[in-house]
Amino acid sequence: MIFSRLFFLYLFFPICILCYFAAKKTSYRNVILTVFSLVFYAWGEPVFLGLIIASALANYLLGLLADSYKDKTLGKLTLAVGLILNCGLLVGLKYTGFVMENLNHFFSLSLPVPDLPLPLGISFFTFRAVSYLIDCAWGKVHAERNFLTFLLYMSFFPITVSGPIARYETMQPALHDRRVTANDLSAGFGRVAVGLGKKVILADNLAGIVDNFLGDNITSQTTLGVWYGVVLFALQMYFDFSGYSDIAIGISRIFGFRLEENFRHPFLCRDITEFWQRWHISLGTFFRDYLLYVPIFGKRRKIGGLMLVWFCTGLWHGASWNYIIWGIYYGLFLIMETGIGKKGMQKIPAILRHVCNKLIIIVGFGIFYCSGEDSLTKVGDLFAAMAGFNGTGLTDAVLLTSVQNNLFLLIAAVICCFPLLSLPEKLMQKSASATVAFSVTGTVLAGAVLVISSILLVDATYTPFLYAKF
Amino acid sequence: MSDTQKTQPNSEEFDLDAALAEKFQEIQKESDKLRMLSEQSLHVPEEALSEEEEQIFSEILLSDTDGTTPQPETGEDVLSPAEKPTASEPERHAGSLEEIRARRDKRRSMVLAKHISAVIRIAVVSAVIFGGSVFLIVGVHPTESAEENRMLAKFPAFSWHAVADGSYMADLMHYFEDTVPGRSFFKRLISRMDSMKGIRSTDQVQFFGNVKQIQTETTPPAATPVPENSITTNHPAATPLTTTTATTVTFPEPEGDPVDVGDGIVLVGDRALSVYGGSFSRGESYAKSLNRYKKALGNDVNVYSLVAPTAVSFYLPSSYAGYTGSEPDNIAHINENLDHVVPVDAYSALAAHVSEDIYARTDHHWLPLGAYYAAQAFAKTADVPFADLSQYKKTTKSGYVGSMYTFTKSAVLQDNPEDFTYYTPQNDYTTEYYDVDFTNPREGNLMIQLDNVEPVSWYLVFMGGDEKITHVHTDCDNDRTLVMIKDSYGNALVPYLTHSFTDIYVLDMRYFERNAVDFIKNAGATDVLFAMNTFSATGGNSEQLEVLRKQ
Repeated sequence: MIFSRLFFLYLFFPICILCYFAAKKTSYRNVILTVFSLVFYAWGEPVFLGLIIASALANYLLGLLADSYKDKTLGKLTLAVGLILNCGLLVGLKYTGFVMENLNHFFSLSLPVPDLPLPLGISFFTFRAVSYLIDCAWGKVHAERNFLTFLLYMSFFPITVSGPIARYETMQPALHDRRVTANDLSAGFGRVAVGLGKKVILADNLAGIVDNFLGDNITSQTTLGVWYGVVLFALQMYFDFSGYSDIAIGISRIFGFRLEENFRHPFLCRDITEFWQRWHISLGTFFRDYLLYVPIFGKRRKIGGLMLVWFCTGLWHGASWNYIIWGIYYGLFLIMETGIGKKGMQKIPAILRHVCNKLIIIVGFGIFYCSGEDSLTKVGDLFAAMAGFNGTGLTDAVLLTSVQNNLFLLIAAVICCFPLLSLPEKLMQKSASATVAFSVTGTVLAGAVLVISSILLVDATYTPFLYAKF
Repeated sequence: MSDTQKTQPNSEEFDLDAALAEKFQEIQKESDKLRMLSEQSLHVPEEALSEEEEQIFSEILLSDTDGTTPQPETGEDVLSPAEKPTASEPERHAGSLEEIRARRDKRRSMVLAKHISAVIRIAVVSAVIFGGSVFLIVGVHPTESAEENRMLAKFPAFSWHAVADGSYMADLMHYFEDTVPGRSFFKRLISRMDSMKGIRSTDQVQFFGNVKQIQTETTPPAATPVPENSITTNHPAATPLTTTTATTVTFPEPEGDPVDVGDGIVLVGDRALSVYGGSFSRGESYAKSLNRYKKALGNDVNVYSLVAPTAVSFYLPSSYAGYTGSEPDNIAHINENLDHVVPVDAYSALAAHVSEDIYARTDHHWLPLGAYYAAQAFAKTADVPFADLSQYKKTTKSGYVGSMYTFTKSAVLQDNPEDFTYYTPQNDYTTEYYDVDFTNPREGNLMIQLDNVEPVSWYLVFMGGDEKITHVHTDCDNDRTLVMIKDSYGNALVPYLTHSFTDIYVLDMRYFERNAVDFIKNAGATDVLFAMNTFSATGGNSEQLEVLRKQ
């Protein structure tokens, strides 16, 4: 199940809220949330329900061992076993087919290519488990003693599908004791509305345009048409992903969990380093904390660590060469910025820095788009098209018409990349009347966004297929 | 608490805090005394706040605006150094007291304002969410969608097996989302919203779906002869056969799945046109299939091919010609590959009447008048009698908004409905319908009543749709029997042939479940007409002809 479905918004979610607040004690509420989380997880793929419970059980036991024997050989061994189990599961299910395909391709072999099903959110819950085990082994947290509480941490439905990769350290206090205030509910509902609007009103509408301009059209698209498609894809990805994160953070808040931010207006960055401090923050901090300083590169660990992080970042996004290229691409720019240094970067005029990093980011999203089979060919086609080698001219009527027909949507999308709420929030502090005025305005907008998004979702079940009508 | 958080402030800051805290306590005592004397000066009496409310308010106050971690309250929050009193002691106390009172009032009112705001937001959003839940559960769920021309999802039957494989949950979710109460209303609302995404007007071209420029590098194979009796019109897009400029449309083979052909729609003013990809190789397959039918049926049966062009051939401005393939060139290529199968030149017949209402603006079909001209061309080719339009009963229904609105959700189409005019034959004939396996015969009307039919489905007037076999026995006495194998374009031809053949059998190539050659022979057919549009003939539907021949 995903958040942007009417069934979730108007059946699953409200029923969960009613049940949750019917219970008073945190322990009962944990049971309710766990049950709903497992139902949420099992909704689309009940076959994997056993997997997440087994994973939780294994990590629960390993966590206890790692905590009890930290700084001892058994603790290290436990951590090693845990990492092998978790990463092995992820690699086995997500990357085996990719590895086999490439072995067959590069070594002319004919190894069987398994078509393994991918459990929902495996990349996210695996990383949550890994962070938990490492934190236990490093003494940053104490292992959870209550299995049910740990199962809730592993399966907590707001963050199961698309993160953020919330650490146990962050969730631990609320897992054991939490109070939900009126402010929590208000902020949570507001955040859900904002996230839903980003996803349904902006991202989904942008997706339709992107599909028309990139889709399987790259080789016949005009130069500006491809750039237009890639820019809109960058916006689509931002609103899609950050929208989901907003909903996840909002729902968590409603249930009394305060998660860390996952996006902080990434397109406002002044350099690539800052972009990654603002984009998918929980993934960036995961790799920073657990992988960047792994002492396996000796004296060159800075560069080696960075390349390893960005190779893994790329690969984490999917079993496709374009993701690996995308990761390495960012890794190279980050190393370049590291080489220039902070002072050196600051000497570059701000406007030039903004132009350069936006260009790099947009091209990066172009690479990101070219997933699936023949991803390398697609990346090549995309670069050729962006460089104007398609021979289809700079622009055409379809592009101009699309810009005109979607002008307000595009303007809204660009505006929404900025921190629009910061000014009203500051003004709200001036007086009580300003607080009420801005808050009520925000409430009306939140309600409107919720209603509009819901109406747009009515159309989601039917994608007309013209050809079939003949 | 982490080590960094335990770090003590430096001594200077520490002293200042302590001094300020002490001062604050003194002033607080004075303030309490004054409050006792003059309670009316306080906007919010302390008694008004219960312990629980105070706690809630404190939490609200302590949490920052974006809802992140609460910040600890410090002495500086209460009285900053900038607000340090400077007057003499009594004046200073009095001034400070007023300031503190004002600050506390402001703080209380802020707390109250935030609390009220939070409650309002909770109430509004909860009302939307829980109201939506009630609406979704209690509301009347529609069972079919007229504008989408389909039955909506049904409530799934429960079984443990379906639960185990996840299909029950998926179907349940699909049911609630596919049958939202008031679905049609919301769909119309979505069209309105869609038109607000940018600047749209009725005098401009809009693109929907996958519309791309057709490459002009390749050359059409062999010659691309002008069909016989080709009529050149003044309409720019109606003359692609003789165009040799840069906008000449040629035909690269579609590289992807052929069903992608025609995926895009161009809206020219208030007319929606489906762009055509075209495929010579698929056209050849279609022609070869018809040749096999001819060979199987022998010389006693005349076999005809009527490939109908669509509106894009006639109404797409020449400046956009590069976005569609050429239907006449594809038709010509098909005709070249026919062997003893007689082509019917529907293109020319229609091109002569582009100024009339021969194609729907809001639907992907032709209008009954367009079908009339194509039927006339067929009758001429087959050398059978053909009745003038004046011998039919003309019925016009207003408010027709067809399938193109469903595909595009364009408010332009929604706001500009058209007339749907159809012609009912007045001669004597009977109509019998069969299931697609030619069982279960029952009598019916050739033209169905549209009174209770949604406008989007008015094209169903001919025989009520496709999933059936139709047998029409007429008063025509030429003893010729026609079997028509068709797509939905062929439906509109049938009424005009009731004066031309004694018996007419109509079967849809997508649904027919018998062997077509056997059926034709058993029906005693003298003539067989393959009638379909270019999308079918050069698309996936043509493959179905081979299935029918072999099954």
